[in-house]
Order: sequence, then C-alpha cells, then structure tokens
Amino acid sequence: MPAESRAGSPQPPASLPAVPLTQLRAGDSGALHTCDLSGGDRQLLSALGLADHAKFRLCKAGSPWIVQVRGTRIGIADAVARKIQVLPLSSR
Amino acid sequence: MSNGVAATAAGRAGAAAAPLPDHPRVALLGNPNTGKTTLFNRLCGLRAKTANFPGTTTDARIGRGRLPASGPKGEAFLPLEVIDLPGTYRLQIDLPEARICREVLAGEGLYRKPDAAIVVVDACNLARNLYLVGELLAFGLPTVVALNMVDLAQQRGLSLDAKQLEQHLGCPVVPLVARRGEGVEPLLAAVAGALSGSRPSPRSPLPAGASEGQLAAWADTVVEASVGGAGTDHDSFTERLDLAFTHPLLGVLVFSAIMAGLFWTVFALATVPMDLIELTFGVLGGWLGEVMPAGALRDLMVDGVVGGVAGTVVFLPQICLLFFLISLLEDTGYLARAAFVMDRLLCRFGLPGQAFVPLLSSHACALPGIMSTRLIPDRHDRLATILVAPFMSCSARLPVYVLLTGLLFADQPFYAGLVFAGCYLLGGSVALFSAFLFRRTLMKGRSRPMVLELPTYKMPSLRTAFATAFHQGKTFLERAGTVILAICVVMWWLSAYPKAEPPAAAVQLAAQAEALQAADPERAAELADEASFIEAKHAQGYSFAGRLGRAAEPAFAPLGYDWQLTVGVLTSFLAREVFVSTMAVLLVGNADAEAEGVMAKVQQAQRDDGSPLFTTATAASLLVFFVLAMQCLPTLALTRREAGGLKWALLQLFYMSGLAWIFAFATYHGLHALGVA
Repeated sequence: MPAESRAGSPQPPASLPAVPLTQLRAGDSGALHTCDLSGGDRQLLSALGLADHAKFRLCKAGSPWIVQVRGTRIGIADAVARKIQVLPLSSR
Repeated sequence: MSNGVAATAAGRAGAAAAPLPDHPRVALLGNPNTGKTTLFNRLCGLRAKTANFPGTTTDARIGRGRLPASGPKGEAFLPLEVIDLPGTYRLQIDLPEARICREVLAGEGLYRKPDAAIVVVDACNLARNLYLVGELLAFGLPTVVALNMVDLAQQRGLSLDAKQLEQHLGCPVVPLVARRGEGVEPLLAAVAGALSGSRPSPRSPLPAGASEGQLAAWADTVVEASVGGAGTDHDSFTERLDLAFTHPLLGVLVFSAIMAGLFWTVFALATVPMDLIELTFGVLGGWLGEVMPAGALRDLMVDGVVGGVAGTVVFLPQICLLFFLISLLEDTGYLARAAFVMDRLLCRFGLPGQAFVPLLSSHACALPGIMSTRLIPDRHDRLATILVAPFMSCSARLPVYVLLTGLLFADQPFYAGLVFAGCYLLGGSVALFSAFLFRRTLMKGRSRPMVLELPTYKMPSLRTAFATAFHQGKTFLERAGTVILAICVVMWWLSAYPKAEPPAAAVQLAAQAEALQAADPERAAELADEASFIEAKHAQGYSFAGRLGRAAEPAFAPLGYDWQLTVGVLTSFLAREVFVSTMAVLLVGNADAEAEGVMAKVQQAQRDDGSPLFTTATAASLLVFFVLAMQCLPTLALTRREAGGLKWALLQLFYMSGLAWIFAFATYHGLHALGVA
C-alpha cells in the first residue's frame, strides 16, 4: 500500500485528551482535533491536508513547527501552532 | 504505469473527430510547487505577455504555444493560448488565488472562458493534489491531468498507474517530467484530443456541495486504486536539511551567507552590463547631439528622452539578475525555509517572514524589491512591505552618502565609515518602525502567521530562472519605463526652461578667453570654464526648477538649506543621485562630481550672504533627509502599480518625505544646540 494511503488510514481512537500542538515532541504522531484560527488560515491548513481528524507526524518541534501529513511537509509559525489542538496518538 | 514517461494519451490526437476552435485557450492550474510555471515555460517559451487579473494586482501570464493538430486550412499546428493561473491548493476556499481561478474558469471578468484546462499534479503527493482535480472537474471543462515529477515518485518507490487514474477521473492523464521537458508532446496531443471532443467532457466525481470528508474519501479511493509501491514518508535528507535551515542560530547563519552571496553576485555581475548600458546611451546621446541641429528638439531628445530612458534602463541588469537568482533559490525549495527564519524578527513589527527578500533587495534598488513583494500572499502584509521598502538605502543613495560623509569627515575615513553604516541602520530601523505603525493604523492587524508548505528540495531549473528573469525584466520596462520616460521629460523641461541669456559676467569672461586663446591657451581654458560655470549657475537659477527652488526655500530653510540646496533636493526628486550632479553644476559648473578638485570647491561653496553653504549641521541634516525621503519617481510609479492605486504612492511620498523633514529638522537643530554647527 502506498505511503499516502497508509498515513491517512483509520487509527484506533485516541484515549489521551487534546493538547496544543506545541506540547508534542519531535517524532510524535497526532490527529488534528480543533483549531482556533481565522477562516483563511483554517482553510489553508485544511487544503494542505491538515483537516479535522487528519493524522500527522511532528518532524520538528519549535518555531517553525514542521508536521508531515501524507506526503506534505507543513511549516507552522508558533502563533498558529499554539491554536491547534491535537490528539496525541503515539510518542517517539 | 511504467515509471518512465509513457505516452498514454499520445494517440488521442489522431482520434480527433470535431474541428478544433481557431484559437483554443487553455487554463493551466495546479497546487503551488508542482512545477506549473516550469510547464508553462515549456509550453510557451518566452512568448508570454503579462497583465493583471481583473480587480487584482496578481500577475496573469498569458502565453502562446503550438498545438499539434490539423487546422481548418490544413496547418500542422494551431496557435494555443495558455493562461497561467495562480497556484492554489483548492478552488472552493476563501483565498484570493482560489477566487481568481474560479472566475477565470467560469469565464467571468474580462477573460473569455477557457476551452480546456490542464491541471498539474505532483506525482509524489497525489491525494492532496486530487482535491483540486475533483473541484476542477465540477466545472465540466475538457480537462487533462499533467502528472508531474514522476521521476521523483519513482525514486521514492511509488508506482503510478495512469490508466487506472484516467478511469477514475474520466479524463486523460499524462505522466511527465516538466523540468526536463519529457512528456510535453504527449500532453499537447492529449489537449488536442480533449479540445476536439473525441471523448465526453469529464463529469464531477462528487455530488454538488460535497463535504470536505467526501472529497477526502474520494481522493483516498483514487489513490488506493492507482498508486502502488512501498513509498516512504520519511526522507532523512529533507529532515536534516530542514532542521539546519530553520534552526534559530544555524538557520540565521546559513541565511545570512546565502543572502550575502546573492547580493554580492547582483552587485558584482550587474556592474559590467550597467556600465555598458550607460556607455551605449552616452554614445547614442552624443551621436544625436552631433547629427541633430542645435535647438530645443535636440535638447529634448538628448537630455530628456535618451537621458530619461538611460536613467531607468540602467537598473535592468540588477533586476534581471536578482530575479534569476531568486528563481533558482525558490526552485530549490530553500526560500520557504528562509521565510520562517526571518519571520521570528519581522513578525514583531507586523511584517511576515516573506518580507525579508523584498527588504533586502531594496538595498540594491527599491524597484526589484517592490516587485518581489509578489511573494507575499496577504494583501495587508504586502502593502506594508511595499510602503516601507524604499527606506532601505539603495545604490542610488550611495553617491549622495559619499559626497556628504566626505564633507562631514574629509580626512577621517573611520568616522565617515561609521556614519555611512549609520545611514543603513537608520533606514532599516525607520522601515521597521513604520511597518509597526502602519499595522496599527491603516492596515490594522498582525502579519498573517505563517503556514507554508515546505516543498521537496530539488535541483533548480536554469531554464525557468532565465524565463523568470526575462519576464520580470520585460515587465519592469513595460510598467516603469513608459511612465518614467514621460516624467523624466517633464523634469528635464522644468530644469532646462525658460532659457536665460548668458549673464554679462559670463559673456565678458568668454570674450577674454577668446582673446587669450593664442597667447595663453591655459589661462584661456580656465576663463572659459569659469564663464561656463557662471552661465550654468545662472541658467539653473533662471529655470522653472530654479524658481521653484527659490519659492520652496522657506520650506527647507528650517533644515538649514538655502535656495541652491533646495534646488538640489527638488531636482533629486527625479532620482536621488541627481543631487550630486546638480550640486556639481550649481557650485562648480562641472557635472562630474568626481572630477579632481570638485570636492574641495563644493566644501568651499558659499551662500548668497557669503556664509559657508555646508556646515556640519547642514551636511548631517541633508544626509538624514536623503536616507529617509522618497525621491525616486520610478519607485512611486511602481508603488502605484503594485499596490493598486495612486493613493498608496501619494501616502508613501508624503509619509517618507514628511518623516525625512522632521528627522532632518531635529538633526540640524539638535547639532546646533550641541554647538556642532
């Protein structure tokens, strides 16, 4: 199965509570829970693949926060990362 | 699918059943960083013209290519018009680039509805790219999918089945490597087939108003069916580079080194073509001066038209080189990382990280700096950057800095160097302060926090860089040159008319010079020079510009300037460096300010009342004024274009000049108060 599909395949529901993206460590995986962003930023994140429930891997912690969603690497400024709530799925 | 570039759609052109439109028009769209521009350059070469999308300042490039199809008169090729739409991740989102794409695809605004669409998708990231394809298919246009970067997909262990993809999408899919030009011919053949109506127009795979989840599920289904192989999400090379390039310290060091190299290259390599341009226009002006009869028309052609055009065209090498190098950097994928490095500093002042390239470019010249603000997606961020970019000390200020620091610290190069550096620091600091001010008043709000795709690192395309440099150079000449030329002619006329009769003193000296010509040629030459000086000074004072100088003197007197310095300030409104030649003409009678002895004469120049023209306070006040004032008509013309209105150019002019006046006033009186007059 290609990497793209595998990355987006269903995962068991997370049991951990939602936390800001900034609390994850590099190498951790998570799923997007909610984000308190303006319409444009939210739509841009979603268009880049970081939509509700999308699973990602945090490649770099600290500004810019770099997450990988499927084959897309997204750089996220601190101000945005703080407003993104995620469900931790696995730790490094 | 085979991993190479298979011509799966190549044969379709032969199946063309219906006649093609005479001048088929194709819209080219795709996600950012999918090689869309590279493909556009492959399809159209340099045959592109630029306009703005209606109601926006976004570049609309329309190129001309050739479609391999039988025309109505038996031609082997038909002209093809390609509209390069802005890169967008989706069509149905509330962002300017998406709105432009929707309008063009629907045939709204000034543009005729395209006959077909080519959508470029990244073979390495198919699922995300399919969102755009799904939304495009809803428009019902004949569509061809250009599956780009199949070579990279292969390297990552992915194999794509184009036939499966075609079946799911209901439109032709052509694998290609646009960077190498592979697959372009089959793509054109597929476009010809789609235009001929040899297969029904694709239908939307999703119901109208499909949700985000439905779109994602559809994309996943298509990927599941058409992508195979054990690709990997982990690219350790990319991860290591990203860690280095975005590191708080190492990232800044790398960035500084790259930018220093970029600007050194621009300055170093542009010198030769700039000198050549000046030489060429000098020769042209000289030739016109010889062949045209003396009179107003010759003066207009030589000083107004040729001089004015030369003053604008001389910046062309810097602009082309800068955009060539920026294109290479952008192509590698590095610029997205660099934007984050600078974002940490600039966001405190309300500017985005992407503003750094325009601000740094403005140290060479504000014109390419302002043009490169197109990299900034948010309009308020972009406006703020355009307004403050001219505060950066550009190369045109250098001759003025050299003259004034030379006057301030004639035999103290260390202090002269410090003041020189201080000028750069003052300009940069005021730019940041002004951005901060603008973002809290006229453009309220913080800079848009950055969310950027970090594209895959790859080798840059020289072909794309050349095409970008050509395109930007052409745009610069078209946009700035025409307006500037007209303004140059007006400014020349103001400083050349009305013509004055030579004053009696000049006539007398000229007569003496003529009489002494045989007996003492050296003395005769000195007298002739003095006569020319008196005549030129009288002509300057008598001209409209001179009269304007005298009329405007009260406004500049609080800064310590007399009418001569006021004329210098006013004429340098055309371009800052004109100040030096105006001073040389007014004070010495020689336009070459670097000529031997000229500096000493400028230092000794006097006002009408016999007091020294340049005191420490006056020179410092002038220096501050030139660091901050808006004295560049080409920049104002470009601001009007790029910001989308005259009001922004006027705001820039009055804000910068007003601030310059206040700072120069404070400097002059501050130094007086300290007893340094």
